Amino acid sequence: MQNPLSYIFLFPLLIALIMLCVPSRHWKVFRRFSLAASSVQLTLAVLLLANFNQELRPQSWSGAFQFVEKTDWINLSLGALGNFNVQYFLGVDGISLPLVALSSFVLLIGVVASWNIQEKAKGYHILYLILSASIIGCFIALDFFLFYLCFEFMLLPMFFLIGIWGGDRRSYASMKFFLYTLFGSLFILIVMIGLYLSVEQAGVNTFSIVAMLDGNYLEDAVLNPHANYEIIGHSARALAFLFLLIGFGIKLPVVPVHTWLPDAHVEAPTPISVVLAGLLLKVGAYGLIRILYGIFPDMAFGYAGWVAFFGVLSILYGGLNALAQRDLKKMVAYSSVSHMGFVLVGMASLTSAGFSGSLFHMISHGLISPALFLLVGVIYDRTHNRLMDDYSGLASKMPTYTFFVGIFFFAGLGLPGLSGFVGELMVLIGAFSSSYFGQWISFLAVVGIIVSAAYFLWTIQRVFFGRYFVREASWNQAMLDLTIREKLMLVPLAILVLVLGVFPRVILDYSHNTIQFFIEHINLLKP
Amino acid sequence: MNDLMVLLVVLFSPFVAGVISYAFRMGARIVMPGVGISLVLSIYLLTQLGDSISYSWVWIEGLSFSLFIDRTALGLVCVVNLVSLLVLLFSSKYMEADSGKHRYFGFLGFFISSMIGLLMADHLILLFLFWELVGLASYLLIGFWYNKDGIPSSAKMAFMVNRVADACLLAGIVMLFALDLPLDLSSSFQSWPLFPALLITLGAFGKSAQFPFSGWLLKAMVGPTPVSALIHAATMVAAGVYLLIRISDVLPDEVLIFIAITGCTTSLYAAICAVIQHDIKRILAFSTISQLGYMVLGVGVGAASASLFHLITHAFFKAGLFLGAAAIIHFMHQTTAKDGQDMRYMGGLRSKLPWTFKAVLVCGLALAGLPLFSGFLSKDAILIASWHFALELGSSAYLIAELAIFTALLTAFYVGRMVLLIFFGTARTDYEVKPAREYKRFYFPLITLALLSTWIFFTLNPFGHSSWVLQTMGYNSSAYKGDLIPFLSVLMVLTGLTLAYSFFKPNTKYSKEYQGIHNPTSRAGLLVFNGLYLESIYARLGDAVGWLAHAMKNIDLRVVDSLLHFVAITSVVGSKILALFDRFVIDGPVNFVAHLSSYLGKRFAGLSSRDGQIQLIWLILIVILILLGIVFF
Repeated sequence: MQNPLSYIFLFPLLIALIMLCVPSRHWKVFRRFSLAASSVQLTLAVLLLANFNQELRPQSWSGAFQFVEKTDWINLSLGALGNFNVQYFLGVDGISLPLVALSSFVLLIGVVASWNIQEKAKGYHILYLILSASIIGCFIALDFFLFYLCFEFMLLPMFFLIGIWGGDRRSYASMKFFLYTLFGSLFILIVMIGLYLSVEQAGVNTFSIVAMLDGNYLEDAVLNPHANYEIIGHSARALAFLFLLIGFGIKLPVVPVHTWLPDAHVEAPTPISVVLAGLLLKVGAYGLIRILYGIFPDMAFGYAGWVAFFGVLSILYGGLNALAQRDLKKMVAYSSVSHMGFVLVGMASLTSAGFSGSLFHMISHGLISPALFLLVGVIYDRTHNRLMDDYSGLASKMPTYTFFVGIFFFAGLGLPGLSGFVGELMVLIGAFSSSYFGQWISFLAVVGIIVSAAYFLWTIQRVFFGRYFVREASWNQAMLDLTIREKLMLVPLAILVLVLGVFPRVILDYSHNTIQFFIEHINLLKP
Repeated sequence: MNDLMVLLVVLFSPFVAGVISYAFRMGARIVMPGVGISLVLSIYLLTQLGDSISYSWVWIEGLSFSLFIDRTALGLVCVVNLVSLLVLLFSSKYMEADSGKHRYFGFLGFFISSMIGLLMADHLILLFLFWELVGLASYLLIGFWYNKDGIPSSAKMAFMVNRVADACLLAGIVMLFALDLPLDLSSSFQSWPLFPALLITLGAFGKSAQFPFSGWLLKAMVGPTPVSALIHAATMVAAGVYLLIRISDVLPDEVLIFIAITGCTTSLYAAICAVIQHDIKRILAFSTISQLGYMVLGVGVGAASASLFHLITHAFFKAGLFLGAAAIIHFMHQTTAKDGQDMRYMGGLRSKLPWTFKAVLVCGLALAGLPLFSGFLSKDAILIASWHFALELGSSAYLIAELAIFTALLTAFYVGRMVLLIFFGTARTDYEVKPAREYKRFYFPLITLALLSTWIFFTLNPFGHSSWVLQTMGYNSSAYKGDLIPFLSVLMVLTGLTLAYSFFKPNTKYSKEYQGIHNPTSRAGLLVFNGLYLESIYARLGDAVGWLAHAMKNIDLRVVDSLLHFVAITSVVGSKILALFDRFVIDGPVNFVAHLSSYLGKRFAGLSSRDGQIQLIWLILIVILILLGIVFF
């Protein structure tokens, strides 16, 4: 097939266009359209996985990407300022392809989770498809402008999906989410402009991420590493590094800029929480690995200690917060903060084990956290209440439900044999072998593993074990075990979590050569 | 069928059987054949095995998992399978009426497979994998009756204590990995650096319930009693000692001394605690901790093979004791006794449960370490080794050896006390409420385990320490010849038993009034009775973490989020002020001009309707004004 990436990117938009023409009283049509669009996306992603050349050992970033598509898109002459030149430039490598596959899978799960949404179904599904296109777009865009466009465009459907279909405090949460991430994006925008002015391709300024990765800087440009350009006494590249760290750090999220996440999660409808935790956080992590570490590796060495420190802070702070929550969904949300800390520590280590671990942990968390939100959604659908204190001993009423809770909680706490362990292990290996920050940071990361066990087990003990109890007698009839639809979502997730835990090479074989090259490339630029 | 296939069947058949049991609600009738297959094949392999076999599988690029099966590992696999099979047989009766028995046997299958995997694993990370799975299985089994009060929290605490130790283990392993040391145990020869070695040792202490991790084993008592038999005998707690045995060659000397001290202390501490317990399961739990202390001591004093030997003999007699306890508890639950585990309600059970009595007596004497029983052989080997260790190191090392020998006296004493108070004397409860009897499925495993606790299965010479078991496993055990130590230890055992008899024989004051004896009230007594309050200390630590978590939650709400709200509110207030500024300062003059012109317009609008002369006058006036303006400015 020609241009598979364009199809996977734009197909949902096409379907969304068709949906626009369908009268909104046929609410059942829209979910079928969404299902079709997501299934096609997943099929395409599987085809991509099958046709990707794992053996490719890149020599430079320009040779690292596969399924590349490149055409001129916007070409404005700005007179004396030169050309404003944006390309429609897509491609995947061993880092982005697993994320594309994860996205299409989680988006499909999200559609199934949205199956019962009747209220304003047309708008919901159109927004959902726009969201899905922009998420995929982020992972495959190789032009910074296109990336930024997709990155920003995710906010719009997200804002409405939380703000219209959310819980009681939805307008607060969606506004907070929108403004917070928009604020972060501004930093990225500044760096993007700086990079555009500094990087050239064939003599003209370019937004091409590949050119940026390869370091085709214009002489004496702002961000040229050899120019040692300073802005109010600070190295321009160091500032750019920090700006990107803040921008993507908010999206990741890193403590202390994480507070949008619990609110957004708690107020979002279940399928949107699934997408939010499963994919949106990964976009932040992907931005860090691709843009921050790819383009500014020379700065990464000096700041490794700080990055790792904030990673560990997120692990422990997020974990302890999760332990103190009464609301199941908030607990899961804070556990996401904690897990994303591991991703950050892995990157900070600047070792191939750490990078692979980060990537693997992204994928693994991209499967576990959607499942956790689905599991919380199971209770919420039945009683519209998520407080842990209102339930006890659910295991005796809902054994299948408890079985899945067990699988995903233990995957979350890093039980070997399930996918959560592999990422944590590799991140720890990276952290302990890294010479860029002290070992005490790595030890604190190990302490994080104990904390994660504490909050998951505590939850199991309170909600699922013990004598059966629910607060309202009227809930009793509602406490039925999983429906077919719920199993349909959880079973594939559970299988993947298990398979990835036992055979991590399913993912790592895709990323191995890319990350190997990445690390070599970084080490060449070591100051 | 090649060896790898056989190995994989040995490894996975209990697990697969467990899954089938769980999924199709089958119970023991599928798990027992599964374990049986594993047992038969592992014995077959043991007879076929040359030196060792190993397999390797690339898990991640640069990290290959390897299985390494030598005679030690395979021998232990056989022991695990054998004990498990007997426990399963016992459980099939014990759990007959439980509605969740498919779950129970499913978990057991999982437990057994994980333990076998742990024994076969060569790569430390693979070992850690099974290590955690064993921990999970024990969590599930301890918390099996999840809807009873107190049980879930005990299971959680047991898991968490293990988790802390496991985190140490993981950190140690990863540190070794980062130092580029081989993680395959069979190819580790270079001595490990102190710090990772210490961390890994702590990990092993956690699983093997060494002080101060030992409290979890008491918490684990809330599970079904046959599970305790498994946890305490062949699986779970054996894992830590097994790891220590495997790595004993690469541990630095400082760590070995630390291990010896911990082992000795734990052994003594637990033996003292066991002496004054009334709950039969708690006595046995403390005795397990104490015996594990012996094994750990053995590793510390450089006698890993003696530890291994004790691990095996202990597996049989402790499984026997726990199954015996299970049979007693099962019996007691059919009577009017308020507490089925409390010895104060027992007494005179010899006539009611004759087979159980015989089995418990034999296993108990093995635990006490009387000659002609298996425990004597292995415990003596450890005592001799620790004496040699003391001879070598001199000075305070003698204390370790002496305490270890003294612990033998305590052991014999509490064993004697337990057997006398349970089986002899008069009944302290009316047993005749329901006809209770011994079941075949109860006493067959018990008798088997009792037979396996006699010397004859290990060596022909009841005083020789060279056992065929060790030789089959590839160890030369003739090193344990020790002049006077066997006599000394026999003396200790006999003293302990005599003392116990003189205190607790029927018709003494103590045994007559035993039912009315309360738990200790003095501070020292309470301290010992509660095992130094380890469980409460864990709970306090847990509370402290909970407090910290709440503090963090408050910081998150009151500081981090408030700061954000402050920024948001300031920007809103700021923009309101700007809006006012915009309205009055910027927009004000504009509006003023507009209002002025509209005012003037209104004022002058009337002009057009008036008559021509007035208009003319106004016109002239205005022209004059304009002209004046031009002239003067």
